[in-house]
Amino acid sequence: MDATQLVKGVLDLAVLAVLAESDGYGYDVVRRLRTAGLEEVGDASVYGTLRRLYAAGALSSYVVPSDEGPHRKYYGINAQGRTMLASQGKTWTEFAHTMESLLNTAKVAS
Amino acid sequence: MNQIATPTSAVRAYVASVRAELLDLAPEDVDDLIGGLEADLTERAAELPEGTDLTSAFGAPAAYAAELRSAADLPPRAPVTPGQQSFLAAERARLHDAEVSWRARGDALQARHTWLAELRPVWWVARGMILAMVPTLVLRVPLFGLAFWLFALTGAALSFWWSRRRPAAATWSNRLAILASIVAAVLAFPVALTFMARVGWTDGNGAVSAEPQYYPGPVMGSDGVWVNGEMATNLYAYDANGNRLDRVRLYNQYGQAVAVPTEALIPWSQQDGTIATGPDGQPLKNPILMKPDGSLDVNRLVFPLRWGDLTGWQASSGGWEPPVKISELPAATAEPARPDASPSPSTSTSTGPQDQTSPSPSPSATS
Repeated sequence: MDATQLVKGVLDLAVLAVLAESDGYGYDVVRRLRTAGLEEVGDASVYGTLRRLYAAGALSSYVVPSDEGPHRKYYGINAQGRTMLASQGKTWTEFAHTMESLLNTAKVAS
Repeated sequence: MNQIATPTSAVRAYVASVRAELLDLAPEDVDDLIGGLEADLTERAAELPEGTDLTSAFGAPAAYAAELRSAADLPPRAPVTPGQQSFLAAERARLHDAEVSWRARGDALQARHTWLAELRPVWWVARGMILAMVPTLVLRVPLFGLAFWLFALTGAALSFWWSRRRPAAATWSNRLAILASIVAAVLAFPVALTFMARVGWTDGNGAVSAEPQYYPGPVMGSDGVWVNGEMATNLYAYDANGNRLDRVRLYNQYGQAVAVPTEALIPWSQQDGTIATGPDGQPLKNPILMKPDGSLDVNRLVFPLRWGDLTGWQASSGGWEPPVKISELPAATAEPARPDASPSPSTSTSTGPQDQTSPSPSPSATS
């Protein structure tokens, strides 16, 4: 199974989880996701997800100017985002448990 | 404040190409998607081995843009045929392409000549001063006065500050700075010309004179009256009714007395005491005599000038012989006839027949 497809389904959750630790700009979020093990995540998918979560009201955004180069756009999680994270996290955990027990029943080595 | 490397031309071009793929979206959606992308890609590109092609690393800009749209839940790009594309969208795309191309050329030039980048602050200051000169010259602010320096320094400081902020590429403030640079470059030459001309018009204190002082020809440093490009060697005053005004003193708008400069009268005198010759080659009838101290024996402030045997209204050699009376001005502009009134402290002198209205020379018109 292609992990890329799986990542797409949980990218919102992953991005919210990363930003729950601390605010970050686009590539910073990408890097933290990859460090956490989601190496298949695409840059543009993360940037698009950030924009969608922002448009949905789950994130706040601010611009940090630079002395030398272009400005950076930071995102931070807000109260609505935390509620979304908790709700989707719960759904995911239940789903993961279901899948785990299903696979255990089928005796698939993890 | 964090430090972000300046994007390379390749990153700028890539971001511009991605943006071009999003132009069918609302501008705020495009800004949401593209905002910060240049910084992100600059950082990302710095991690790639040197010389890596961005398209091979990030994928084609069109695919990158499609992934952004998809993840952001925005509709995929609608196929646009030239016929459907609005004139505005076409112009926007054309402008955009031109901007990308110019930015890439600028980056390439800077890469070849790195010292150009060091000169940029100098241009920012010059740009501000050039643009500040426009209102200064239009409003005729006295050159090198307080207001002048206020304009110039404020312009320079604003321009420097604006560019020092170095906003991200393709923002409105960045574009405004580029537009200001183009306007300043175009205006630099005319502003410099006007400026130099105005410097020539100022007096020693920096105040602007009302009119330009033209180069006075061969008579240097003179303060005479010029008519049709030739210095007047005498002045004959008439009132509005055409009557002579004798022993008149004239002043300009600064209260400076009008005088015929000594230099203009030199041809009428001879330093060695011999009699000068006139335009006809004949000896002058009325040479001006020189006093022992070197000055001319003539009062240069009272008109008509008189010297030697001249009584003031006689023509000097080769000159115009002023008539006793010249024609009155047309009724619409003429002052009411007031024979006893004179605009001059001198009394009006009329010695000839009063019915003479022609300005033609009259041999009897002497006083």
